[in-house]
Amino acid sequence: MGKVHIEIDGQKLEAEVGSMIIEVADKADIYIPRFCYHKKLSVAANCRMCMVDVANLPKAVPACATPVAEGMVIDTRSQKAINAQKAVMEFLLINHPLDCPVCDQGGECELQDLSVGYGDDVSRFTEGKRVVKDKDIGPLIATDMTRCIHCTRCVRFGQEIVGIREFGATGRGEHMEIGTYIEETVESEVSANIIDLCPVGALTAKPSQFKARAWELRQAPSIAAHDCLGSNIFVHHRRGEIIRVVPRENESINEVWLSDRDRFSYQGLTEGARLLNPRIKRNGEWEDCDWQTALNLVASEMKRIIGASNGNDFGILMGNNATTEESYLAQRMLRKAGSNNIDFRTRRRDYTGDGRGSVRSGMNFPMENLDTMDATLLIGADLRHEQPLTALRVRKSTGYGKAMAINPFDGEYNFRLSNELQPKSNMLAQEFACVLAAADALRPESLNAEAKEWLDGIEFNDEHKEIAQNLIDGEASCILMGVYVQEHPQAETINWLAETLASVTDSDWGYMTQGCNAAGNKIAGAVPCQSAAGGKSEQGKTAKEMLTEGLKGYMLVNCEPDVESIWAEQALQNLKDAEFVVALTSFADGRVPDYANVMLPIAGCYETSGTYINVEGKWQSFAAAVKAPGEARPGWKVLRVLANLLDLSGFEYESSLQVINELREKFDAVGDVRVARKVPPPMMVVNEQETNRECLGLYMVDPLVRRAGALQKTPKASTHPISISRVKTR
Amino acid sequence: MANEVCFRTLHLDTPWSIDAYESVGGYSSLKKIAAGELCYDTIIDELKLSALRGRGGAGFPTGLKWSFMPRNMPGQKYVVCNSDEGEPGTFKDRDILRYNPHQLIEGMIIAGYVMNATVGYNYMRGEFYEPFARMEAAIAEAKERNYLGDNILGMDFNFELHNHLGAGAYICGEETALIESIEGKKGQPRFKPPFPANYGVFGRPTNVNNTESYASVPAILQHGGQWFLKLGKPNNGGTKIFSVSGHVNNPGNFEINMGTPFKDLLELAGGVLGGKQLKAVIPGGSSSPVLPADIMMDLTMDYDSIGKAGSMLGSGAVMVLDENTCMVEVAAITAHFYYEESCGQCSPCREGTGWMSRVIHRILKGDGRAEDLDNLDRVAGNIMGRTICALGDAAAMPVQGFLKHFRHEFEYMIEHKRSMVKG
Amino acid sequence: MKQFKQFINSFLLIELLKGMKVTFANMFRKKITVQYPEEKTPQSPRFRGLHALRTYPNGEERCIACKLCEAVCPAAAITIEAGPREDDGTRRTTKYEIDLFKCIFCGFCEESCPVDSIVETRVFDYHFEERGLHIMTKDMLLEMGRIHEDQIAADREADAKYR
Repeated sequence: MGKVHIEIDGQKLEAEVGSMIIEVADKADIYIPRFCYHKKLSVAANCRMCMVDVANLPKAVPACATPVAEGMVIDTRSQKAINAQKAVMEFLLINHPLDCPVCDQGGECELQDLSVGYGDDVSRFTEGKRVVKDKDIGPLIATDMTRCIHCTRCVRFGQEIVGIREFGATGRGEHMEIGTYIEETVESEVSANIIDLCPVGALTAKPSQFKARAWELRQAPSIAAHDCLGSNIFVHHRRGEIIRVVPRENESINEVWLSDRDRFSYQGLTEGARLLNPRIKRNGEWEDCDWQTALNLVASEMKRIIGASNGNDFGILMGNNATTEESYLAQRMLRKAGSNNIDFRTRRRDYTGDGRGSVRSGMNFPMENLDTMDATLLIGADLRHEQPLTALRVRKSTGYGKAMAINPFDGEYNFRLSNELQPKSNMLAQEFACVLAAADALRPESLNAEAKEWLDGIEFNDEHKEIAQNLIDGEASCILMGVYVQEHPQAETINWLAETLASVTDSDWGYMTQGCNAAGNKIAGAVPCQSAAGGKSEQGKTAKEMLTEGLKGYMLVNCEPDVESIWAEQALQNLKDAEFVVALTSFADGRVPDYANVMLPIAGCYETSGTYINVEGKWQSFAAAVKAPGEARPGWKVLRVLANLLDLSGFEYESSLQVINELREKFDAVGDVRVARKVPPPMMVVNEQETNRECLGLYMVDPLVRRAGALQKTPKASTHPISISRVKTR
Repeated sequence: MANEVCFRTLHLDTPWSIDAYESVGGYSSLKKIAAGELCYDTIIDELKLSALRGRGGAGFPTGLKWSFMPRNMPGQKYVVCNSDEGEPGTFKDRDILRYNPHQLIEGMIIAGYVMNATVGYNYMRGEFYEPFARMEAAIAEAKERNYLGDNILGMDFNFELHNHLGAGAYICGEETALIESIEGKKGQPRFKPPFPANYGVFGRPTNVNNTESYASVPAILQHGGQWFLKLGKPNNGGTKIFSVSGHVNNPGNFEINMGTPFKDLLELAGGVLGGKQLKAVIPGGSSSPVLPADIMMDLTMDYDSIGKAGSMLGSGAVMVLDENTCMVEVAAITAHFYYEESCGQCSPCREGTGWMSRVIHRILKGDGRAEDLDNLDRVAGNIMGRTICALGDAAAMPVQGFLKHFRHEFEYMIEHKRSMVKG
Repeated sequence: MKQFKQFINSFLLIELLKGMKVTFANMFRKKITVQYPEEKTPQSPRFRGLHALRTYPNGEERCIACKLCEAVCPAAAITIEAGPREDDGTRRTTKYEIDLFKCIFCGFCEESCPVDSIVETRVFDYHFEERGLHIMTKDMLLEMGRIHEDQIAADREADAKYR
């Protein structure tokens, strides 16, 4: 692309050929008023607010739709430009209700802000104003369509970014209305982004409706805790109460978007019954007590059980949104106390890969690259329900590239698949192997003898060949496995196949992980096979063993295995049968009180400082946004004091930063070591019963989301196949 | 002389049949092309020479427009005919479709040949049931004689023509909205650039012309550009169909030479109804500013002359208003039309048309205020030139026109709460 | 000389007579003392006394929970919590409290109110008997509004032409 030289408001600028005036101005920090223009959406040029004066043109032109040309001289503040902008502002205001005091957008409204600069103080409009009937579009988004200024950002978002056209404009002229055509709920898993897009108060967040004004809110940067992307967010809170969560721009992770799950999960903090004091169960009754008493009891019970069984009969299970610090302290404490039974993978069936592979789990290429893939092969990946924002990225790539999928289920995608294979769930590895065999046939020189032997006798058809060919042809291509694969009994085989196929076809590969911190938990060493930063450890019991075989003592850190794990029923029974269960939890509801002996209140999401390591290996630390209620304390503090009470040395941390720095040092010394698997794992035959899809539902993934009221009211909360009973909230 | 170009079959029995058309030399231009006597360059040259200007309203030179099409670009290209005749007062395309559909078909085939397009769409407004049937029949006839279809007249050239019935939206007469409508979307204009010549139907290069423009092409190629030019005035070549309506004794379509004095046209139309005085004329469809009688009587009917007088020839819909017409009422009707027909996409037009319509209706009801007129003029001025398509201008110009020439009638009505002419 | 003059003055009790002159002059003037609380001084319609929340004639509270008064209050005396009202979902306060110990009676809340809901009445004499009563709750404020509505409305009316 060449460059042109233009001048905006006397500032000489260099710009890419083909870019629009407004883009260049934005880069140079020259503000041009706009409503319909949004950098992530197509240009609609319908609000006409961004009119600027271009020298030698008779009329003011819209900056969002006028490409720059060599020598262009633009004035954004000339009389001609301002006249045009003022005229448009007047038109926009004539039918917009002037009810800013009752509007939730008041104080952060683009129309309100600009009307200060461009609006007149006297209205010359004396006719009646338009009124539009309100719509009910579900529990997440409140509408007040009379306020709509028809910028169509929401329509374009659905059409272009999500690929699901939930919104559209009906009617002509003044009768034009934005709506859902027929009355229905907006269902997409990223729908609430239209709240941010809407420049006026037509679309606002329902859960926080009327709760606070923009100027009362304090903003704390944080990291979303419900999928492995680690979306960047701002937590907006007021007087210690979280009012809402909004996206924080990060081009390499969440761009400017946020999934509904990350946005509205905060509700769980207030809607779930919070545990405010340490509690001990005495004679079947719960009693509040102080920290000292509770922790002493836990320490003595831990010592007793670990001592009696040589570490075999006590285990720690970490939850899906445990921070890296919590995991690191928990495993360090447990290992020092003499046991290796710690795991966070309560949904994994295949542990044969333990001790191999990389220190970190996840993707081996930056997420950003998904945007520009020529070919993407998805294996068992239900992106829209697991990591909604990755689905948007893959969709972007399908503008010119191809997306293919091998799924043992009906995946709902918001992009077109060029090839889709649907093997039975127990034949997923076999089907995938056919693709590798096809790739091997296309590029016979790249596989080693063992792999070739392994592939011997596997037949492939044209579709397999086409998929392999697409991966080979694509200049940038990748193989992406979903959470389902990691839960599959043949996870290791499929992982090996993906890695091998990637090397044959010159592709990137990676897998999505359950929860927000699988990579962090693994690096922290919260797995039975390795200690922190891939350090050596004797093999402890895996989550599966702990939950299905039963232990005498359990510690649950922000974990509800009776809901989250694959072996929920067995887990519940074993937890009830255990001698001693201590639960570090934020909530006093659910089934934890049924089986726990001690409940220790820990701070929930946004109430603790910590670090999440996302699926690409980005370390993202955050501070607490609000204070935890009652006696609840951050998990890392509880674990640190518990370690002191267990008389273990080296637990003198004073901040979570010290903890993470210690881990970081260890990790940097080792690096992300990969121990490649030379010998392919055996191809097992598994029965179909065992592999039936039962991934956690979109809004079931962790204790917090399960208690978020508005999310639980959405259709998505119930339609996703889940095998476990829903936890009642409140 | 009248009826020389688009209406040249009108004197025959069943003028819409292919035989009637062939008897006046129809399809001879196409045959010339097939025989290799006319090629791309000569056709463009003849069109440029003829000074044929777009008959839809904007008056853009057709030859120039055709030469913009990237004919050598690989891939599908389209030829689209705009028969969505929605402009109030215009009914010329309907009669071409009804009485001489073959001339349009031949024009479109030639356009397809020139632009290397193999598919054409004829977009007709929703109410054109009879013309639609005539066109369908005509296409079948043309196919039978191998004027349409594969390997036309033995050439290495295929052309398919489809009729498409709109749903009655005025905005779909705007070329980009028409394209959206053909694509099956909501009829809303696109922002230009890119122009349809680069990004049209389904994102492919597309040429959009008015029915009358296409229908003029075969005659031009048959008789030569010079002949056509001489029918009219320099820069305003050929004949033009004027749809005369309103207070005249003999309303109807008149195909006359460009540059004919308005007086003669009025005479053709039988003079003002009931022998009354002429008050004003809307010379080019409802979107053109009104002109008072004294100015109009001195004008000739062509683009330049009417443009100089401050109005436009537009689509050639001449609306004649006699002395008993209340101009406030006419303005109210016009404003209401644009209020109803604005597509609602861009703010100035969506909000402004409603505002203007309401204010004029309020004046009409007798609730007008002195400041309303300046406000109206200002609102119209604010819409002007600030919208994606020309509908905003089309809505603003007549209001400004009425205010310019007949402000006293508005003032009278505001003051006396009754019409100046009707009492 | 000066000292002499002073001596004469004090000898002749000139100063005293001057003072008595004032005393006698005032003795026969009209009294301005008011017998509070039986009598009260006149008040301006703009008097800024104790707060009240007004209601519409149909009983609907005016306040729409826009929180402008809370934002503008220089003493941070106003605390508002808001949310959709249970029965009809309209924007209403769930809590509206004014801390009279903090309030400086500047009248900004009244100025900022877009619906003339929070107003200051002519009531200025009040006392608290218990700790905690200095916080006027929403119910107290609404009750104030109901009791004094006629006076409040008359005052707004009188002042309307200057606003």
